[in-house]
Amino acid sequence: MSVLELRDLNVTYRTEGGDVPAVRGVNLTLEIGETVGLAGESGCGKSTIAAAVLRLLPKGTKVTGEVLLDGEDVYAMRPGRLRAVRWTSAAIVFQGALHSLNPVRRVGQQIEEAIRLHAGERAETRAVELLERVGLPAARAQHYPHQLSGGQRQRVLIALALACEPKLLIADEPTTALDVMVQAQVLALLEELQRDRGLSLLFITHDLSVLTHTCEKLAVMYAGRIVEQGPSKAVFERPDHPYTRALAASFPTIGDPASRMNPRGLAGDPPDPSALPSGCPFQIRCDVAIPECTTLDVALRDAVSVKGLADRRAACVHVGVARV
Amino acid sequence: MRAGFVIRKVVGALSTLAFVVVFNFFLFRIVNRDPVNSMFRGRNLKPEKLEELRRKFNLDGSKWDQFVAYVRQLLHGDLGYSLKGSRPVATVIGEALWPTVLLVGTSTLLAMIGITLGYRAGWRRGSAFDTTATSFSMLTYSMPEFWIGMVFLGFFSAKLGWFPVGGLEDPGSHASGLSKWLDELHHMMLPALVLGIAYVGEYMIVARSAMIETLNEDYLQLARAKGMREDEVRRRHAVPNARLPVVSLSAINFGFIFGGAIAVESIFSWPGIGQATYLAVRGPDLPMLQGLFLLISAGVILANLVADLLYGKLDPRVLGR
Repeated sequence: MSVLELRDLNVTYRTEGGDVPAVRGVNLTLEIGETVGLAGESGCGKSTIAAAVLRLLPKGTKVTGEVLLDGEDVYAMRPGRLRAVRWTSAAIVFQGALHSLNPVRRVGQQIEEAIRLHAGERAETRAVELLERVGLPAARAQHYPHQLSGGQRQRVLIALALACEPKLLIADEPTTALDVMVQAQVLALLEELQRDRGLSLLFITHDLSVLTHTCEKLAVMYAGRIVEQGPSKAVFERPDHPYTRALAASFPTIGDPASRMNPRGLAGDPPDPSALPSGCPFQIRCDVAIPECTTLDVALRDAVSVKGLADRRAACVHVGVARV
Repeated sequence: MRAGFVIRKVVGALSTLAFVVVFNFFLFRIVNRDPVNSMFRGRNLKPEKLEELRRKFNLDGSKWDQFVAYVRQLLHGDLGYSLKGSRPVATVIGEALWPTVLLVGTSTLLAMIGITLGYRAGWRRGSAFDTTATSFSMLTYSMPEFWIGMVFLGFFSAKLGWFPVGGLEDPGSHASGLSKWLDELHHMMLPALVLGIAYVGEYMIVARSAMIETLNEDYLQLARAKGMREDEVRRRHAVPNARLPVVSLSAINFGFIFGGAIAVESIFSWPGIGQATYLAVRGPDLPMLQGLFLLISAGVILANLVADLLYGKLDPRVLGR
């Protein structure tokens, strides 16, 4: 059984200015011990997915489709069951460690609290063990968040996410606010924990190069839907979707001055989710768009650009239909 | 809490107090050059008698000598003599202090119900509870306390006769023990209620907006994700972060406990500091006013010191690294 399965997930935020579809028909599966990366620009709906898994979306948000945690639909759970599942089945390493920790409570207490909520024993000892596991000295438990550095806070958040030994860890931009050295350390830690504990990891970031290092599989999101999916190395090196191509090209190749001096970023902004263009949502920024793209919104389909490579899918008119 | 932080705050409070002493002294010397003369409005009085009075009120000698004498007296707890009845200011204030602390203290505690109301209203922003509580607070907040006082006095005391019309106890009462206590309580209920209603809205509104500011904080989302119940998220994560503005407001209001409630005490003839101030202004009884100003300033400074020290406890970021 899959640890996590999203079936045709749609999330629509209700705002005063009208409905905003943030996630549109996403299907995604995570097996035990698998690492899947979810990439895309800000506003593409990737953090919405993280919140949707634990049913943390604002009240009134419209959610259709299914979110199955260990085969059980999160949106069919009673409140008590939902609270019991939160943090024990899946935990989230939240984005922005500075704001995710309560500034007026000691970090040790915040970890203990999670353990106690799920009737864990020896909360204090275990909180210290968790901190040590993520490479922080025991004394840090007595500190307040503002007394720690950005990297240390991120480690605290990871320790916190492990508090109730979840099978699934969702890491939402866990390295975004960190400098490169600390980023590498935190990534190494996540990878190590994932291996040691056999965790399933859903890794959300805008940084495609991070994902190719960490994840086996990759899903690229654009305007609320997955536009390309496949083994991460293959997707990164030979993208099928023009958006993935642009995303991959926006990271300079190390040691190549030409790419450094002339980064091929993507022009323009992602479309406003409340006013998506007709046809393919990417056509406005796409350099290979053809007239058909303004009317045709291609669904995710099997790609055949590289023969023999299985599991490649993309949502583009240029991507072949038949598998050879 | 760090000793350095405490020392810094205490020294700060003491120097503010010292400044107030100096300012207070010279303020009243500027206001009126010769209070003794104006006391008798040019009536014929022997020069020796005038001199004697000036000595009594510490108005002889140079400004510097007067100041030194004033500070020396102050250190002995001597605030000089009231122009009215020639009683020591310290004694008059001392008598008025307890009724005021009782009245304003009780009503402040009453008004602090507004804090709970405000937190709950802010937590469920836009709900029926929020709308009701906010409208109620706005309404009471915008009513001047003297007006509420007079309406209540007219209705509950004069028309219904439920409460006495004023004072601390029944005139000529020689009750003692429990019955004296009950009598005072009966007298205090109406003015305390009026003050409580006048202040509750402010607490409610401040607590509500402090709570609303925490609503979108990420740590609340994290607390929910951990599997916490909503009311626990509010109590253990939102409220501790919404405390500072409320503590500031409470500190200011507790500081004014010593200042009394001038309007309400006057309306209900409550023999407290507020009424004493009112009478001293009408005099004008300058030595009395000088003593009262010092007391009020000291009250505010002390309350702010307590608030500052509390900040350090409530929000570790205040203490620095």
